[in-house]
Amino acid sequence: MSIEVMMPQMGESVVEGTVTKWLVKEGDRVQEDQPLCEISTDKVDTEIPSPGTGVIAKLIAAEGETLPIGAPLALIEASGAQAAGGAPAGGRAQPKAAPAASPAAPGKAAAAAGAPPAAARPQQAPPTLRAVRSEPRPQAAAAQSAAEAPVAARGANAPSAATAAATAPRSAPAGAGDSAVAGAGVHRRYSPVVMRMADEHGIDLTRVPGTGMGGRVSKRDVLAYLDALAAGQVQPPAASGGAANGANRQDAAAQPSAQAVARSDAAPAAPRPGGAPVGVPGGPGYRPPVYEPREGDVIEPFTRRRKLIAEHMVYSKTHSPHVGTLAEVDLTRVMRLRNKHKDAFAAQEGFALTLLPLAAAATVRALKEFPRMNSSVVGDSLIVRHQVNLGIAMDTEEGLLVPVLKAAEGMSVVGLAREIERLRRKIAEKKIAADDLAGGSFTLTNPGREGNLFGFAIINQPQVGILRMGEIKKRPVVVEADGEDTIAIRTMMYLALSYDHRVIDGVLGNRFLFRAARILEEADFEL
Amino acid sequence: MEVTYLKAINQALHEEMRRDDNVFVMGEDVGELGGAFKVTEGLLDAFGEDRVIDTPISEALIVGAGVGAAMLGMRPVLEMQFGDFISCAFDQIVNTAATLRYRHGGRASCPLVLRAPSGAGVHGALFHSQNPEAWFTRVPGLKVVAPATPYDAKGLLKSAVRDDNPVIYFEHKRLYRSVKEDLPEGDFTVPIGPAELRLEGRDLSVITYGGTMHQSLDAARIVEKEDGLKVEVLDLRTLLPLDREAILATARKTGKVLIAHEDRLTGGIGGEVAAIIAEYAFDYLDGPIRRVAALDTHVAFSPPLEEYILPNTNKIVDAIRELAAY
Repeated sequence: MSIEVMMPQMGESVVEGTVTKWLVKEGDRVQEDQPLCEISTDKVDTEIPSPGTGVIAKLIAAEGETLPIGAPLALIEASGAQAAGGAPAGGRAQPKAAPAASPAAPGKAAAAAGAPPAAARPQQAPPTLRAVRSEPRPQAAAAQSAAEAPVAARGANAPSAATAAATAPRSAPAGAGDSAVAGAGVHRRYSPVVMRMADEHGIDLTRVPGTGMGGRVSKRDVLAYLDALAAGQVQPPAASGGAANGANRQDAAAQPSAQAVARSDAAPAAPRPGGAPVGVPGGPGYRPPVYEPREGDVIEPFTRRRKLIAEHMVYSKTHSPHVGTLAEVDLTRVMRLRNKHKDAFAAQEGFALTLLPLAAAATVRALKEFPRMNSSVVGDSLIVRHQVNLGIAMDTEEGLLVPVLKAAEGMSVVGLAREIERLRRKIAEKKIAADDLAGGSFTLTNPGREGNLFGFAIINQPQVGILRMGEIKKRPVVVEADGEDTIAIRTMMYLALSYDHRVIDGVLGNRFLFRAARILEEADFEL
Repeated sequence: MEVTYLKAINQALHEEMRRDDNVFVMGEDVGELGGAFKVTEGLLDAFGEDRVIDTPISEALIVGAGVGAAMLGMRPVLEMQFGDFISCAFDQIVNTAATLRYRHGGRASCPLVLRAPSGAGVHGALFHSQNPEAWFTRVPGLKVVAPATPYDAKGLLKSAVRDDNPVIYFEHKRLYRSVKEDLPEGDFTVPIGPAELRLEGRDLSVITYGGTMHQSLDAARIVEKEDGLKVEVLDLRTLLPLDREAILATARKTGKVLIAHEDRLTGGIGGEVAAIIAEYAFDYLDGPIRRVAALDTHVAFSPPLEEYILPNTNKIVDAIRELAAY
């Protein structure tokens, strides 16, 4: 049986402590009350005595790591009769912990595990509830409550130990690489009965398709999954480290959780065979710290548009692996072309000729040469679009909008310029319609010129690529003139392509970007 | 023979008064008039004015006199003309009747029945629509029942008369003539305490009593037909003491519980039922425990407002669908 060593409550107002030094290492045999590590807080420095006799199975907290009261620091594999003392000793590890833990006999550990220790203020120390890990059910319940409780971890580099520990066991038995089976990220909270059944049957809930509200996994879904398992319609996940068999399950589950906790940076954890990948949306791992109000803070609730943008961006980043590629574009010639026509253009059209319609024209031409870049991902298919509907990202007061130039392949530069201007006016007059924003097949974005050397945009889903214009700047570059290399001052811009590597491979992405850049450089446009 | 809910109560009174000479009826207009709802009709002719007593309009007096008679070995069946006015007798019920056995170290008892016509949906407005059961379901020493069917109305009233403790018997006015049932010949009782499973199901449980019991059954039939949902309907019947075993059994079976009652939401017995489930069947829950109850306001006279305030079949159907989809 494992005994958990927890960050003790060291004073009324102390909410966290820093592990300054470990006095033992993994594998060491320790006696009860033997000092395990030194803890420093803003009030006191102290040593933590061992809550039991056994072998240090795991040092969860790293030296220098600051953790909330109740966060697990280490696991001791208790030996023999000492195991029985696990629970009470666990209580003793925190001098002021509630007596709830102390009288608990091993068999009654459930009660102790379920009772919140008085000393642990709930909002700061949810994991204290888990005194003992031997009983599956209370642990599941505790894990749930820990996952739901606000987390007190301060700062980004102290990811909530509680949450990581709570969520890791659930995903532990997952087969490698299949965590998205049931649409990971949609449902992460499970009802008590679902948690209990998953525990009883040793099933990984991320594999169970959810049909409840918002994709929740309901009891019915678990029953259906169990039926399917029994009927051989789905394969059980490959057991890893005895993860699927009864008593070992808890210990096996404890391993990755300990690992997850031990990591204080947000980098992916060390190899976790059979574990769900860290960082999967809604998956185990980081949760931001609880907001602490400070004087002068201004809270701006998301507008609807901001919320939509946020959801779209998160969706895009999590669903399509972005690759960024960068091209250098010599704009000298095209700027010359623009300057030559700008006065006549302004006189005739009533608005200024910018680089944007020219870049749009180059993009459209390149897309016609590489039609696979002008496509959408729909389910498991890539749909190559014949018509080029070029989205142009525009900044507005309420946030980003991407009006679409429909059938852009049939437009001249002037036509593109007029259409861009028309849409820009509509936005300014707040008359933009849903139709103006729908149906894009590729996107070009030009997020302001200054301080924007280059950058990679997020793909506008379900498109497969987006071009982003960088800062236009005069630069000395090597050019070849009359067979000689010379250094010349040219007007330069970086053009960055983000593409979706699910469907676009590097060669195609590069060739498309190269062509778009070259077309723009050559400036072979009619005005 | 088909008997209405009202007639079932009337039969129980006749039979109990015949069975036991100590049983007598007392209340406003229960004799000459036969009761405002005709529940006590025929009793005066059958048993005479010594055993069917018209009282002044004072609920405190009715209960107070009843407590005295009960202490001396009589078995009074007291009527509150409308359950709404039971609050006038609150002190006699809560401080006198309910505590009597305790005050006398168990050597005295108070075997009275307090019949309280309650419930809304009859355009009775604020003073004639109340469901005051929750004021009493937390008082030790009392028993509280709320039958929903003629069979239970008759059987529970007989058990109440024979019980040695004060029993508050809430009879739902809307059910008086709207529900009928074939009743067996001869004497039968329904024990105080056990709930009754009215419909077996699988997907969700509706725990209810009184007027909403029928609406819950209707709702269950609708969602079975239209959604293929198998809803279990548990009729509590007795509100004090609650049948914890039955409540927990159905909660554990389906994992989703909807509580429906006509009493107001806040402080209604539904909260207690929910707490029992949350406390003892947490590991079986597959969704939030939901409640459908009257809004936290007084029942309005305006029919559209009355409908808006009270639970009904459609509201229960909606809640079932929502919870089933959770």
